[in-house]
Amino acid sequence: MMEVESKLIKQGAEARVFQTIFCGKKAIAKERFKKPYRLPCLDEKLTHRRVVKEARCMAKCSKAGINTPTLYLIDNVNHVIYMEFIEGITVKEFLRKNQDDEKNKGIVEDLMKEIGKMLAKMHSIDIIHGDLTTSNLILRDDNAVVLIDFGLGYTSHLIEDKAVDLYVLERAFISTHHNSEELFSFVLKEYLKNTGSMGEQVNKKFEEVRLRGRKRSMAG
Amino acid sequence: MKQFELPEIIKPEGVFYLPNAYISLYNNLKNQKELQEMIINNDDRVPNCAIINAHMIIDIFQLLAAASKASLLDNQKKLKTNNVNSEIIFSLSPYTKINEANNVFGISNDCDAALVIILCEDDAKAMEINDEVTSFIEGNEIQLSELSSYTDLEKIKKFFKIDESIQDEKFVLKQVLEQMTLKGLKAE
Repeated sequence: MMEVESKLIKQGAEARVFQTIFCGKKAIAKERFKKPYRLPCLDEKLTHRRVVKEARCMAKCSKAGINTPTLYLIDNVNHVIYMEFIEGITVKEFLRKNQDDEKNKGIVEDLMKEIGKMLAKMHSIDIIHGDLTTSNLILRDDNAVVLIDFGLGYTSHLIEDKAVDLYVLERAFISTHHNSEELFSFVLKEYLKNTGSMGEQVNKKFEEVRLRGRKRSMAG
Repeated sequence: MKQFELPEIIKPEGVFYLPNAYISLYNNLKNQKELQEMIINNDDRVPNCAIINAHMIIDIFQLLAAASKASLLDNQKKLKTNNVNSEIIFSLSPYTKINEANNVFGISNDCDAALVIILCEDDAKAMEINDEVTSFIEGNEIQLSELSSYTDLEKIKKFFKIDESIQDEKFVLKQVLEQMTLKGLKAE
């Protein structure tokens, strides 16, 4: 009997993430499980739609030259996406370890710029990630930044959505890293440098979103 | 012939296993026309394997991914083609035309190198099929590591509509794998 190679490494509200082997390569399997409290036919439809959306967002970003995990296989019956395992550490861990070291200042700055450039590329093809945090960015062993978890991703050309996407990242920086203001300013500067007139509009909206928060007020 | 393990499939009630894949590479093919006709006509003498145009494959992993997909769909009784072997060829293509997939990824007149893949649970049976394959194909078996000298990257880029200025083979492989994975996905 063969050995079970799949190990559960993370469990969230929407999905379970396994580490496994896919034809000889280290891989991740993301399984969107059944929600017993939902009407079965609705559950099936929603889950299926989300799997498809996630895979499409990932492939679109990849096509535009953004580093993402390679898609290997989609199991539409069990709602599992098999994808490449990225060797490296999260940007969150990296910052915690290296941020305070004076001699790493240049490396950290370059990393922030790299993130800004990546987001610029993503927004210019109208993809909204939906969950930008420093734990969803992985610094791969070859020093490239890889964007992961498109579970909340969608397509939109609205300036509002892009501004909120940036705002979510800014909040993530503020809540997980000190000196976040400087770090995020590198990201934003590089983002604006690479997005042209769309960037200016996003930036203007971004200031607004900062004042009111992520959700638009229902009143007025 | 080399053995490869296909991935284990994660199900809510536990994992299950796909069969193994046994792959071999042949060059100097002489009877491609005959092979092609026999495969199209579903001749009984055709061994239980898929024969693939080696020029359209960048890496064995590309073929293994297609085999995994085909084998999974076979297991779920969701094949779009006649059998799992033709489904492997269909899975290699990013488009939904079965005929086109056969012409491009299957064996044809201008194809002098072929990959043969056998999906099978046990080694002994795979050896049996392999014996049939070697008598069926007129060509020389060579090492799988020689595949890269047959890969026609330009043709692959053209077929998959990937920017022709891109030279990075890894990037091309990534795009190819993703187009294969996304094929046939419907939002509803």
